[in-house]
Amino acid sequence: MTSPASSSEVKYLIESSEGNTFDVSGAALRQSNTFNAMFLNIGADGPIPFTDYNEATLKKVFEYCEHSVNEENYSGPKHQDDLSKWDLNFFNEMDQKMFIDVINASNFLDIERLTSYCCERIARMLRGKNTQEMIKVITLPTAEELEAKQKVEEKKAAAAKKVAEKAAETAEKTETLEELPVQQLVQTTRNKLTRKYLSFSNE
Amino acid sequence: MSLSFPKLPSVVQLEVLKQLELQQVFMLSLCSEKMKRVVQYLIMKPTNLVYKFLDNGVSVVAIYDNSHNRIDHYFANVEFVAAIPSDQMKPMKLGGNTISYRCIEEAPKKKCSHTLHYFAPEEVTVLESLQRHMKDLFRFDTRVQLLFNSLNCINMSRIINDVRDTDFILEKLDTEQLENYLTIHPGQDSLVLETKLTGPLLRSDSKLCSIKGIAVQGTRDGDHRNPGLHFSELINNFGGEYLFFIDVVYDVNDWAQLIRRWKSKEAYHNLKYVDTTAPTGVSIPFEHTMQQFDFVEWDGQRRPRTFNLDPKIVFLKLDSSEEDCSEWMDIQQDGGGKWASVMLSQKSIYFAVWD
Repeated sequence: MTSPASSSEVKYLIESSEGNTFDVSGAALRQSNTFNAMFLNIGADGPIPFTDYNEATLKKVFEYCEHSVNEENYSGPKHQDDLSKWDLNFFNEMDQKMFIDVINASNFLDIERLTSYCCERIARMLRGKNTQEMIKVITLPTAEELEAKQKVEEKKAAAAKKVAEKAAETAEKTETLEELPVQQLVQTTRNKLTRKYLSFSNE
Repeated sequence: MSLSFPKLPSVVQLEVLKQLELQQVFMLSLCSEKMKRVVQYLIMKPTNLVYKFLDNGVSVVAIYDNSHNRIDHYFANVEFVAAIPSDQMKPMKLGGNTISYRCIEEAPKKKCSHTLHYFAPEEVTVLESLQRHMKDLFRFDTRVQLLFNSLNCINMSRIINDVRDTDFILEKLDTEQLENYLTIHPGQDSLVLETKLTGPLLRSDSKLCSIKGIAVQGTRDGDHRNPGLHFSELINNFGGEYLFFIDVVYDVNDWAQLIRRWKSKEAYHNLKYVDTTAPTGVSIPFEHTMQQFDFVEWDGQRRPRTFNLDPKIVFLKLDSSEEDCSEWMDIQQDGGGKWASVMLSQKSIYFAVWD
């Protein structure tokens, strides 16, 4: 569909990373500030390519947009406790990977309401936690893990240094060995020439 | 569910931080150097940063204060303990230093949800690191203030730099100790004394007397309400701008002398406002003492009706930043100097100098 959208009846074709296309209403799509900036006024010629995101993610994102078409205008972050049953189900249905994909897609499409609710959900995962629990939630390496990693890296670096030193040593030895015949050759040539000159002078 | 926070878009990371309480943001900043950098991007700009020194620890409070509203956020709570079981100790980077700690969950009613326990012998390193961590997180011009609930840490407080205001909430404080403190932290703008002063009398060249704004706050303990000679000395030698005596049994002669010496231009050249209030239920007769002054009624012209009060004493909470002086009496300095207005009652004396 290519017409500039002004009516909610208008449907747009969205193309996912798999190359699949599906319909989204203009009203739902207009919740995306990215879409508004890119296509709303100029129209889209053919499917709108959101090919950084897979079909499942995009469908999930636009499912949210279609649902919130009739909700009041967005007026800033909402506390998790204020979310509707539908909203809660929507988030609870998602596994971790899908949740991350939805956040990323929502952020790219600049859908304020959905991004904000996703952020609130993450914030809720962090509230009341101590530092060690926070580290687990946001999957950061702990200080011990970092220390262990650093030690491993230091060991690796030390081992690599040793290997490099050995290689350099070996190369040096090889060079000496390779140089010997040349030197010998030079010396032999010198000796011959000296002998030759000597023989000339003797003549 | 867990997720890789550092891999989320920056906008999302910041939005998450915005939805958290500041103390949770602080705890996140401890999780890793990467997280600390993310927190730095949040650009937190509190107007004031208060280090509260308790018996065996320090709390940090970030204050967002404008002329209309003030919000205090408990940011960090640190406690120094004699021992921590080794299996509960975790290394953590604080202000760039790796120090072992234990994170304890507090009761729900407490202002801080968690307290960080550190091994007591490391308190100096911890405080240095804590200050560095705060400077890393609050990179803008934030007024640093100290509040003492205990004198245990008064010497350690020298670690904190650029202190602008102090509040002492103590049973008693020795004047020598106070003067030493003011030597360690010079250039303070305001000081609040919710304590009984003991020790040698304040001298005329006392550092305390040269502070711009001083508030003496009485406490519930009857003893503390009696200002005693130390506070008379403070009134007599005060060289600053704002002086408050709240809920204190005052000697009206001290204030009469202040008005007399201001009028004769003998002292109080910087004075802008004095406020002295007796505790509830105490009335102090003033008529006889104040008879000596030739106060005149306001003629509606010689000065404005309202006095704008901006003492910048952070630890002092005022009911209003404006005083309606229409009922106040006026007095002029000798030789056609400045005008001041005074309000006298059995309970309080207010004295405002007009520029």
